[in-house]
Amino acid sequence: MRLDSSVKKFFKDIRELWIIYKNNRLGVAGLFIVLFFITIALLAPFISRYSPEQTDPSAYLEPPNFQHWFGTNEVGQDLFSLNVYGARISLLVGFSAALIAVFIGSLIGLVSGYYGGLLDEILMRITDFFLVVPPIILMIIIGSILGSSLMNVIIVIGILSWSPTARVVRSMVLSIKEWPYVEAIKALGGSDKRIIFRHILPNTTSVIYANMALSASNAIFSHAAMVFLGVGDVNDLSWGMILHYAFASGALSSGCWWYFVPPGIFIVMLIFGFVLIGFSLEELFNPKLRRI
Amino acid sequence: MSSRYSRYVVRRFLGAIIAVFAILTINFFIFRILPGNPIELLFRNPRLTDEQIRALEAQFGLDKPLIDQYFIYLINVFQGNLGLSFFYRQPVTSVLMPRMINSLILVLPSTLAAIALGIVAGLISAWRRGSKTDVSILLIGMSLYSLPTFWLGGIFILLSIYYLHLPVSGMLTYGAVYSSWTDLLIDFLRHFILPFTTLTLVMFGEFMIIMRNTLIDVLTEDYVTVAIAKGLSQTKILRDYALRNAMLPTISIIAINLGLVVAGAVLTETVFSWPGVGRLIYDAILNRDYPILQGAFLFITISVVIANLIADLLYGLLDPRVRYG
Amino acid sequence: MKKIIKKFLITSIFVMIIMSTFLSMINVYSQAENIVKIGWGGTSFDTFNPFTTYAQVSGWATSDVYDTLVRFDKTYTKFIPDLAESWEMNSTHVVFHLVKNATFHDGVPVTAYDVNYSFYLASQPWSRLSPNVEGVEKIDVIDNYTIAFKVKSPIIFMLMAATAVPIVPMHIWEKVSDPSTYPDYPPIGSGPFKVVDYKEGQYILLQKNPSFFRRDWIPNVDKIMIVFYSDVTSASNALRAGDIDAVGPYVPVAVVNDLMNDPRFAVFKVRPVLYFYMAFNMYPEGKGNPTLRDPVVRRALAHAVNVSYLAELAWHGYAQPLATVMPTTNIFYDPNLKPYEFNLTLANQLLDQAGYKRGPDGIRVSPNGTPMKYTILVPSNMPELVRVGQQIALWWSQIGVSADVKAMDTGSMASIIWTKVDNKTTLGHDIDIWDWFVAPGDPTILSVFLSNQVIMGTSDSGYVNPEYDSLYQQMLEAKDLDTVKEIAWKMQEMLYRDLPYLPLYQVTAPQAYNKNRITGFDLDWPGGPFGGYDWTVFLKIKIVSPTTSAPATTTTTTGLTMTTSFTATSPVSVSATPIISTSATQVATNTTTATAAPPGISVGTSLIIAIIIIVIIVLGVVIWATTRRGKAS
Repeated sequence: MRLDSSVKKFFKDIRELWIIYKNNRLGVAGLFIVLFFITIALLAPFISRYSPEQTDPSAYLEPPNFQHWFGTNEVGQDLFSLNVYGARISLLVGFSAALIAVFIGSLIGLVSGYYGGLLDEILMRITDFFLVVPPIILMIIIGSILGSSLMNVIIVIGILSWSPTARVVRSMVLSIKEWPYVEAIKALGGSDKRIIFRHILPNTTSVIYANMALSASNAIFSHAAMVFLGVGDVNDLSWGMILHYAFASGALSSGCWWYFVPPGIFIVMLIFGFVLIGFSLEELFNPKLRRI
Repeated sequence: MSSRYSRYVVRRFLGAIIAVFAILTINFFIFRILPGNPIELLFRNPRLTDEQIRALEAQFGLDKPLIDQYFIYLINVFQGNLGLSFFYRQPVTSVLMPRMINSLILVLPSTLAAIALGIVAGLISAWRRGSKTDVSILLIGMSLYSLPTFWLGGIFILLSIYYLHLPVSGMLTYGAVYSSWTDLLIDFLRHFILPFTTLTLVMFGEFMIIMRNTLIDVLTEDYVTVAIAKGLSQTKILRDYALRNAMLPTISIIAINLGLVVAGAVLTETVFSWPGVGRLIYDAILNRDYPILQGAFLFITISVVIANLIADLLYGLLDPRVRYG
Repeated sequence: MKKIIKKFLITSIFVMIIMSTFLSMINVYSQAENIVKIGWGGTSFDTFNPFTTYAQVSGWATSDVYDTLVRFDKTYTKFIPDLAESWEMNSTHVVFHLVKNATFHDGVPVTAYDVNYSFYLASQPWSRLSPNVEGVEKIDVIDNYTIAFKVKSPIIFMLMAATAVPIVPMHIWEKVSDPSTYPDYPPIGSGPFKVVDYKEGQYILLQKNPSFFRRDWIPNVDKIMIVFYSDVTSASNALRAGDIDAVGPYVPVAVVNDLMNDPRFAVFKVRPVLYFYMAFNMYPEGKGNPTLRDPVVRRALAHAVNVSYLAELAWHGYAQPLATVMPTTNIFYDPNLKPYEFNLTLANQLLDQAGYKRGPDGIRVSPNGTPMKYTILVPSNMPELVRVGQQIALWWSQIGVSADVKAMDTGSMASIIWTKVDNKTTLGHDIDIWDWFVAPGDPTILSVFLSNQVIMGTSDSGYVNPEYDSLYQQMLEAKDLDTVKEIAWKMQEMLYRDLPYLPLYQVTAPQAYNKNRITGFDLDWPGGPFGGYDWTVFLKIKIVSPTTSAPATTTTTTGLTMTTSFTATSPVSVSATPIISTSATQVATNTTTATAAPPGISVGTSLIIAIIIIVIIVLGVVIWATTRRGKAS
């Protein structure tokens, strides 16, 4: 029963959102970019001419040509295939880490905002701590302890990025708490859990979606940075890994721009796409920001 | 200063002190759970007999219970002793200090420039919100925000190799001959300009967006609408009403984002081989040099706490609600 | 609003001006142009202490700061007198006659007592030179300039100890409470160079010692600076920017073409001292995959690796496949061994015949149920090794073997490989890919395969073979060079057959230097002039002066005097002078490590204060600009 109405509201939300969103050109552009990369990621095996892992010492650091559209790297692998497959990991990291971060953040924000008092103080202090501590440093350190599998990286990024979501959700909860209808439910004797999940949460979904998009962009950036610095799993075919090798093998210094430039452009585009989406969602829910 | 502000100050100070203690504690325990016997890592000599290992452990106080070690660690930190680096076999402080200075030389000007540019651009964008200027500034800011720091640095390196011919590593040319202060200054600036630009550009985007959004929030408040209706000049409205109120949340958000600054610094320093703390951390991770990591982590987090404290105090100073109660 | 912008601009310019004035106070080097700068992109410098350093660059930098009794020539077949002006050998003793006019950099003369003490320090368990002096049974100081060593094998002693143990000043080292942690800065030696400056993580500055006792070794240049870089790529960038004059230990292959096209640089291949290998954990009590203990498995895996392809893949023309555990520059290299043939069919056959059937997922399983699944560890600081590992994994997947490549820093690798289970050190990995730098003049690389080396943390293969151990002992006691060679070859053949290591390739790496700046040194020293083994390069290097032609008044010859090798000896009478008692001083007292305080740190503090003041000023301006009360309207 509970689940049913939440789900119905969820779909109603989406439809409403979509109607307004359609008119926000920036937002649509962002969506388009993300969808583009999702398509590339799904079609990867069909668009790439070579297997990304296949080496060929005779094709050493070739600039773009007809055999290799993006050129080759220092072991003769086709860079076009590598970049195309790279989309998969980046998208995977973006979505999963964002999910984890937002899930934890929302939970903490909800609980903290609703209950207030000492619990709120403690939780917010912890949140502040994670906000203040430079996450990338902690990520690098923990990443090198726990080992560098993709799963670990995603978990680490997720766990260290929930602070902004928590803060934002909490402030929303604080204002929603004062709404008359929430007070009414309380007076009618609704249990805390019910109030939180059935009444308050649905009203915070707007902020949560916006934060998911922004968290995704942060996650992709952090993942690329970690991998670039060498804390990632070497077997992952991701854009950050391509950049890592471009730098570490000295190809960058000998001016092999075809090695270094495309993965960076893709990372920028994907992050930009998520940023546009998140930003427009924010504008949507904060009418003051809307450009009339 | 009213007593309310003093109470505010005290609370903030206490908060900072608690945060520092929490950081010290976490710092201590994180590195104790790392794999690898510190003695073996310190001496790297597989020929040490078990007996000698135990003697060394006693010497370094590693055989005492964890709680004792924790207190020893705290006392040491307050005396300025951050331990011995595994890799350099020198006290951590002597390795860290020169690097800290080098990092500050890079980071401070970049942050200031990024804040300055960000505030100005956010201002323009917010005031003309909805116009083409706004959208273009917004797009520029968002694209810069999306750029991975190390990639931008790499692009600059590429450009430099082909066109700019600027030095791409280090802070000064080693063993160079400087016939005058201007020569030194020029050499430094040539090394400085690329990492500085990279760091500034990347941070600018975020600060601009913050400023713009905060300012828009303020600009749509009723009292501003009243001021516009009253016919006050643009400058006056901005300066006396909008900016003052927008400054507060901006300061606090910027303080919060200081963590971002550190991240950018690590990546920039690595790419440009700038001899700062960021590079030191990168090398220390490669060398599994835990004392250095501990010390650097401590330094960074405590400076961020201090920066936040200063921002909080400033906030309290600027917000009359806090000051006058 | 324009005013605010103006204020910001003015403040920022103001800030930059203040900063630059302070910056100009930073301590910088202003000296004559007579300084050669060599960049090092390999493992960074750890310590000056010659008994505890493991970094190639430290040994190299101090090779001309400390003297040894004798030195190698570049063919590693002759001994050149250094502190010893002559010596005599018989089957049990070597007696050295030291030069009488050698002094340490602080003026104190070098005597046989210093030699004695240095060997004592080298023999300590914490010293990395202790295996080199294992064969020394007794040392007698006969007089101030004569010292006698009773040794198991004189030739081994000459090769491994007389050329390796640096002679340190006893009057300084005996006062050090804990020599194992003594940072030894500045190092006081007797050599043709002294260390006059060291900035941790940045550079070492060597200056010539004009009172060095061998006039014809006195260096051509005044000062040499070894500059540290995080990797060879950054070092090469600095070379191209003109910041340094040469790069060691090699330049990355990716930049070689650019360097060759640049008329300023000379690029050449070096004689190989570095080789890469794959180690199988075959330790009987090891914790890795037990199928690796089966020699058939190792042989099959070897046939599924194409070492020539890998050499090309990783080094693109600058490496050659290798079949034995030492490179060709080592005087004990066995040329009769050839790499295993790359033959996947053969590999499949061997495994089929040995009963390793493929499971439902295609992975072979041993007769008692262990799948052939391995983890290959590679060091993360050598990105090409990751590629090598992944390529090997690809080949092995075609013979039903699954391999997963994991890259990590060398410290973590070491802690996984040599791990303690139930308080006993054992090997915890399956397979690792690593490298060795092999000194051309001695057979110590073969000691890695002794049965006790797992405990010592040197053996990553866990080879346990008593026959091999006894051969090694025989070699250490061999009385002449030919016997040593013969035994060394036998040992290599054993290793070839048993495959604790699968050698991959040796690296004839490219090196480069700016030929408009420096010249005068040998290019064919093993490892090249900048590889870390050539101790003559610092002596011979000269700066090419574009303006003044003749290299002024320095009196140096182009070559070094060489003496013939081993003089035949008659029995030497040794008087019973007691050797210095070697009481084992335990590591008891509190260490007070002398820190190399970087000069200018007080400047740095004033800089920080200046920066803080500037920040406060700027913040003040910002606040003032935005919160000034205007006229009310």
